[in-house]
Amino acid sequence: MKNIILIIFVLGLVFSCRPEFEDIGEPQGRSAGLSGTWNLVSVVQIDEKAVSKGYPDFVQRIDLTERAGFNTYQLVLNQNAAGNATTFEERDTDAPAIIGFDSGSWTLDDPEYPKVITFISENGQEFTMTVSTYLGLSEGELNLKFSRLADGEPIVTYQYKFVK
Amino acid sequence: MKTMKKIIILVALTFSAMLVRAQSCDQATFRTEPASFTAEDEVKLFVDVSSCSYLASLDQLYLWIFVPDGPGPDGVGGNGDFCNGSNAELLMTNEGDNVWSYTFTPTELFEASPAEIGSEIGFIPKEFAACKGNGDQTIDLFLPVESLIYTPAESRTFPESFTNKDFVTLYFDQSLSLNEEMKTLEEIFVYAFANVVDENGASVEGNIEKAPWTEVGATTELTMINEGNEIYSLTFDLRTFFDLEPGHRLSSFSYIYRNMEGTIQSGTYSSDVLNNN
Repeated sequence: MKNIILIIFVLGLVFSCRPEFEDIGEPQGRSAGLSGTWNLVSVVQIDEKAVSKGYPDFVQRIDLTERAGFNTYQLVLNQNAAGNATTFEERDTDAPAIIGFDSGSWTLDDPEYPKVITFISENGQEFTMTVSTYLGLSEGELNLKFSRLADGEPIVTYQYKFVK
Repeated sequence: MKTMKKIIILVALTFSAMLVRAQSCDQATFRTEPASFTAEDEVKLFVDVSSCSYLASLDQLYLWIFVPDGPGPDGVGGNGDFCNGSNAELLMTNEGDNVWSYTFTPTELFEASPAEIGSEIGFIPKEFAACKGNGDQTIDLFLPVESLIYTPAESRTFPESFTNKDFVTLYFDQSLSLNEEMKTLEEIFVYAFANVVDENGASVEGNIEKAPWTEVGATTELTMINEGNEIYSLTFDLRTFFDLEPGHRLSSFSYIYRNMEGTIQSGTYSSDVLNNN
């Protein structure tokens, strides 16, 4: 009986072990890191239907950066002294527009832990992008994404990677 | 004496595990229509429980269905409770002669993508409330799910579906060209024209050409990039590619792959443009 209790105890120890997770850092002050002049370095277009069907990678995504001429795109996000989002500007380059209007204001869904950035034109037009990851933000890397919907389902996603 | 006791406990546990398994009928046979199917196909599952005496005596049979290590049938609100009562949505249809059926489309039943469903679906025909150990269920049975295979073709668009605000890339696979003469070309061009609707959604007569047929060979935006391995591509921004009148929208566009002079060409392709976003 003693042996059985001992075995159960050892098994309990083994199965109670948990893998260690990497430290993802403090989730504070992220909105402050969003302001500045961002240079677009990568645009990846994803065919969500091909992903859903499990098609090969080359049918799922393509890099649009060079082929669509995004290399020179710049996005300027301004904040006031209090750290609140104020104005934005798509710099006048030869790159295609992303937001659809080249200046206006921007807001965050949550100033402390922002996930969605909404760009608003002077005439009230809106465009939203999602912060896809905060990894790299403290090193001057901003990752945003936008998904185009059809009948409520994403059909195309654009992943944008900026650096300061 | 203590050792003897342990052995007896072990034997009893092993025996009871075997007994439970033995009380799940392993004699059921099944087939599907169609015989092979993908996660996007509607499939009718037929199960014959003639050789499962208890199940064959029942007036109702329920399907317990799952993706191994994946989702359950969320599309109908789940399987229910195995021992206390199945979901009524999973009641099977009596086809007579102890054959029962259930019709479903995997992506809809599991509310999951083909990639999430993978290559196998598990199922157990059972009594409404099973677990009595009297043969009121079958053993786990499995249906193979065919992969959705990407099939290369002479022409494709990336992405497959898009709106009038998206970037689109046309791909021409020279090795799969249906016109043998196209296989000899070192430069490939695209003749493209748009089909347009007005602000009321009515078709606008005439096509909007990106460039006239005679000028295609001299138009940079219609010159495909040789990506190697006989693959040619052309990327454009549908927001600006065609010169549309204010209020007009793209409903589709058509394109022909050709040589510079326009003397060798492919067939005409057409792609729909979504406008709901």
